[in-house]
Amino acid sequence: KQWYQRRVRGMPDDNCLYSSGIACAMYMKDQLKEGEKVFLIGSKGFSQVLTECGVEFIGHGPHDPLEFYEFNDFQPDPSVKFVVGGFDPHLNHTKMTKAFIYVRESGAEYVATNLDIVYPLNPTRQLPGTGSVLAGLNNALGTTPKVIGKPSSVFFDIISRDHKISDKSRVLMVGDNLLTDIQFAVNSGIDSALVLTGVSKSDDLSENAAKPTFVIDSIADLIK
Amino acid sequence: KQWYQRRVRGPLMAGATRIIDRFSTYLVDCDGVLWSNNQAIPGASKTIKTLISNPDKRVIFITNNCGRTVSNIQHTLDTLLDVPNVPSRDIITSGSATAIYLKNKMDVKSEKVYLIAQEAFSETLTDFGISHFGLGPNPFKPHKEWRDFEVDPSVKYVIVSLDRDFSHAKLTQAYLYITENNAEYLAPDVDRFFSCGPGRKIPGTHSLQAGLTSLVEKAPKVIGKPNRFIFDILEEEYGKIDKEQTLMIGDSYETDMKFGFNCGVSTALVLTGNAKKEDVESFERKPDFVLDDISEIL
Repeated sequence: KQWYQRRVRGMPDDNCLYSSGIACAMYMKDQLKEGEKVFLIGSKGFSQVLTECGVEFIGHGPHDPLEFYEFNDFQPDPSVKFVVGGFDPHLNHTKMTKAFIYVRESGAEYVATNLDIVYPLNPTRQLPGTGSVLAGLNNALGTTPKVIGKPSSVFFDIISRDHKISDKSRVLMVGDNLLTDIQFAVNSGIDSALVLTGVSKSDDLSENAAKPTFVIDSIADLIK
Repeated sequence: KQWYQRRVRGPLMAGATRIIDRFSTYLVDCDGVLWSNNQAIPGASKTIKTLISNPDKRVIFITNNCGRTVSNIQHTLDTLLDVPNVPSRDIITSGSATAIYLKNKMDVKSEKVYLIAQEAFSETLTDFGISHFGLGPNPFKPHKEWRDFEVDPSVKYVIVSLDRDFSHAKLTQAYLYITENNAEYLAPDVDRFFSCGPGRKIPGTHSLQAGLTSLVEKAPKVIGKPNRFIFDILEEEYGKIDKEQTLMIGDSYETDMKFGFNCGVSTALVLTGNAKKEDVESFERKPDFVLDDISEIL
């Protein structure tokens, strides 16, 4: 949160900025009892978000590789009730296997911030993104996690509850990505405005894509 | 005999009531058929000894487990089953099969192999004279290092198999070789789980391949069972194999039985490993024989 606030100056108050990490943290906090924890697959930024939101976690950071037969003796921590997945360059077979055991054997609920396959590094090169990082775990489990970030409407439920939004018709989602931002609006039942200053361009608009209510050149057009 | 009561295929030849009398070549899977969790399966030793001591019978051991070298399997046959000195030409692992594939295909002077696997696979490649790199830990690289990472254009093959050191960094390196060099993406096997002990299964090779496969939008070429490449290697080694006289014995429908179907040989499923009796009903094609264990061929 603080990182975002440093980047965007002039934030009016603490409560109007939400990232998918924050949404995940709030979703879990709602259901965690005293002493219960989450197993975190995620970056340092995500771990800080969890701390700020009062969610206890284990598993963050690098894991020493275990021999395969050593997993026979691995005892899962019974207070772990969630496995939460975000982008994690420290993910290795050992960390993935512990997460697998928490979901498959301990019945932990499995959530994630997003499932983007790639993370754009620069115009010519991409890195495996959260979706690729979690793909191995998803493949072994035979399921995908509950995605809390856009385009999931769970994200909207959390925000609207926090801000006590009672009239959805007065809400506008402004975004540049048809697949995440506009789809999110469609899933949440709210109006949306696609700005053409980012990812999606006018040629991406089609019958098969999510339909924005408005299409504007930039966010400045909102006040024109 | 019980197997006879379970399955009768047409009129039997006079005197040929036992499976062992009907076939001369036996392709035998190892894990779940001969041994399990480092212990011999009862009856396996007697069965293999009987087959090997018969000069009219031939036994070839075929395993998808690239975590063992050929000499390791020879040693295990000796110590667990009391079957010493099995010639290495009679043992094929998915590792040695991959090495043979590479040996036939790559230009060793100018091309390299990026390997994601355990030590045994690396040893196997070295035994076959295939130079490779990538073994061991590669835990973490910050984003900015990936921006400047030089992709060596001579890396033309990427192998992904079970590796305790598998990491995001290794996944990224494999991804870059495949997308920027058009390297060939190879898999010795595609097993979803690995049995780490009697009660627990953990993510296996297929799980490690999943992220890379969806990133490059292309499935790997599978060298091991159920692909019939291993059978083709055997025919190169031994000459034409009479399929009517050949039986594949294994514990997994997806790898062993399908391998048998693909090669056009007879198939026997044993229930001492992967497959359970209840699973048989749901197979889209039934194996020729379903046996409680391998000794039932006697």
